[in-house]
Amino acid sequence: MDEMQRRVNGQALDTMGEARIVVDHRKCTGCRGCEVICAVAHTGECNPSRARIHVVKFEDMAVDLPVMCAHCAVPLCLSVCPIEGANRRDPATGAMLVDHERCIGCRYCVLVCPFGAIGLDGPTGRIIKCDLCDGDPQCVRWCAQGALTYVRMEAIGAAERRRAVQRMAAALAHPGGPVDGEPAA
Amino acid sequence: MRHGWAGTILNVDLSGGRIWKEELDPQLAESYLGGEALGTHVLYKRVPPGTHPFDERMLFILAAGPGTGTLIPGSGRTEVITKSPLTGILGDSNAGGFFGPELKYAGFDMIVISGKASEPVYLWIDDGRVEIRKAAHLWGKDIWEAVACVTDELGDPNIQTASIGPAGERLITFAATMINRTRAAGRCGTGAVMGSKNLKLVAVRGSRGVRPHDPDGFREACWQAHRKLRGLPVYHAMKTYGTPLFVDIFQSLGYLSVLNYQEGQFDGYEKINAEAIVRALEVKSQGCYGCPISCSHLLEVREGPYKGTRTEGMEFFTTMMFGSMLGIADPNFIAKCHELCSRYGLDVGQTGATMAWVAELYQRGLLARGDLGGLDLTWGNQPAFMGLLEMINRREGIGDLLAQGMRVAGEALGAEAQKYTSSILGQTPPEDFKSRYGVALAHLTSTRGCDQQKGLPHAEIRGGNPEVALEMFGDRDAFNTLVINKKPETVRWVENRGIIYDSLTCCRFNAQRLDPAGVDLQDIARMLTTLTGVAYTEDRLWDMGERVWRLEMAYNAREGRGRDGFRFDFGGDKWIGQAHTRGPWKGLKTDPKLMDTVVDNYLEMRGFDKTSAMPTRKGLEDVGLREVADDMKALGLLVE
Repeated sequence: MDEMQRRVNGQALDTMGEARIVVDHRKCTGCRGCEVICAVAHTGECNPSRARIHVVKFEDMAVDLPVMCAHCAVPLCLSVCPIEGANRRDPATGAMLVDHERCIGCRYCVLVCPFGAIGLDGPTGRIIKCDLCDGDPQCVRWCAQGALTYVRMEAIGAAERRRAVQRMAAALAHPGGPVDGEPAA
Repeated sequence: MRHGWAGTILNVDLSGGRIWKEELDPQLAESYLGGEALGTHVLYKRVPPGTHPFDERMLFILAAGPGTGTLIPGSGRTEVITKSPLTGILGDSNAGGFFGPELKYAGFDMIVISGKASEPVYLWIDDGRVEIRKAAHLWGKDIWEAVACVTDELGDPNIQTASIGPAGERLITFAATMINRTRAAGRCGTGAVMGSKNLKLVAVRGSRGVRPHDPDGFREACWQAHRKLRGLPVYHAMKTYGTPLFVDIFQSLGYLSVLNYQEGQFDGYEKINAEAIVRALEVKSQGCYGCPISCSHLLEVREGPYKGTRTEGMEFFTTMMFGSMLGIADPNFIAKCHELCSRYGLDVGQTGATMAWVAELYQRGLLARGDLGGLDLTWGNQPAFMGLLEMINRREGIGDLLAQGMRVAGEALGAEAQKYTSSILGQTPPEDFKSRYGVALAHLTSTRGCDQQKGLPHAEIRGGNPEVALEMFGDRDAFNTLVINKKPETVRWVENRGIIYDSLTCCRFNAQRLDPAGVDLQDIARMLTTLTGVAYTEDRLWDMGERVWRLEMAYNAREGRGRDGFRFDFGGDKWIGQAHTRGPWKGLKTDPKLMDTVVDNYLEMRGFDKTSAMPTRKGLEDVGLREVADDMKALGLLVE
């Protein structure tokens, strides 16, 4: 994709070529290390409540799911933002960013985000959300479980596809043999 | 306050309902860090000598440290410190989970709880606001019910808890303090002290941060530590299997704990080893706060009478105690026992080992079904052992006696029964340490009574390389388990480091517990210096470990641990008179003379008198504990 085509009115609506953080919920152990490094990277402080990523845990069900901004192709946060330019897409990474010079802190974006991925920073009162760390997300780098990966948009889904047909592949390769690998969901 | 620490101690007097905040003295913080070391210092200073664990004046301390809740790998531990109702000496135990970090975020390094509430209460700490709340509706509930109830009541799924179950309420001397749902500060019966104060639970939530002195330097130092861990082969094995990994190793070496330590190998081991557990039960891996290893696993029983059981964090210790120790080769049963202990708040180790002891007494005809509420405790009889576990938890029949610990129960059951006890100061060991001198020494010298966490010499377990032994300790036999050479030194190597981990706090699995090539004192010094701005070095940390260890020994001497407190209970016939009938350890017993000699050497190395096990003035003053020496002299407990 060429740079001109990616930009429509200054906003990248077609985001092919960019990368996104992908969560593998099976690998996440719920340790919340991503929250701490995120807070350190953005505030210098070890403080999960200031993180831009949060692991939502349902301990009794063993579900741990890190939640952060998806940088949606159709960002509702942008649609409802009353201030021009306060929400914008980073042309380099495709991340939806908040411009704190313009943002008035009305929290309309918090209200409409379907994932609760936008928060408010206690000490500064500012809207906070994932900014993809300018293309080098620290949560991905520090996640020792490999539960977070930074995947080019066109490759998203490839790993899931491969896993989905793993059993079929084994059956095709060895008809009648034992079938290893995970069953499809 | 310096960076790293929250800077405030929270004091709560449950008798008067008084709550007050106290500034943490920066000098004290610098010399004792936090967690175990600072907690022991507070316990030593503020509780009068000879105070009973259930006395109102006893303190129950929950502590974090400067590293807790930071980027330091595995910095999620919570330290529990009080006096043990089981052993009568220092009761300290720690657990993973998420409580310690949240305590820091709420603005406290430590909670010091004294007094006794007139009715059941729980403590709610919300970002510096502290409240004592009624807990009549929680009393009698198991841990999981109580945690769910409080979470719902306070309306915040992110609160973290420390609580007791029915076992702690009933003052069972090996009741655990449970962090979150399944992380146990299991040893020493700290849960009973919480119960004696009518304190059911502590809930905490915080939003303040820990700001490093040098954020970039700290981040880099922690990143190096994370990278180092990821490079260790054992790190990947721990991630996949957790500690049950050691079942195969111990089986092959011949010192798995089997049928109350009668044997060192178990025929059914392949059904309860790490592979078998993961295959039969695994749902997924779970991690404590900020842990790159995440050795814990959520498990679910999929078939049989215990189908539907879901529990988490089943360790090697549990696997042995409810498996090979009871002659049961069924991971489903072990998982069920683990679930019950988590819910009731019982120490898995002491519970399992106590049941194994009773079963050996049954095997030898020293106890009959009539003594056991009709239970047929034949090895392997699952329903009977499940019944005994329930009797202990409810303190019914013989369960009431067993709930008081192995020393009290041994006294009551008589000399023949005493021959089969395994305890030191009433606490049972995880490991069979017959004729394994360094391992046995670590259990004997642990400042919290019989236990392997404090000083187990890892190199000896692994059958360490004689060349490395020569290089590190000047003796090729330092890691040879069958001889006593250099054992005090190899045990101290681990003990002094353990003090640092538990005072930081950070998990020893993220340090050098699994591999000496792991995160060492130099790495810790680097992380701690950039975090706090205080210049820590490897030597300074080592010296701190030595000083705190001697303080703990002095505390124990003050509370009555004499030379016999460094021997096996009731003469230790289990270790010195009995031997395995098969396997590599066949016929080997501990030589009591050698054992005494190595303990003597150890006491002298630590600056204590080998005859009385009391501190010497020089031993205390050498490590900067002059004030403690004076205290001990005033009590007539100092050897000049």
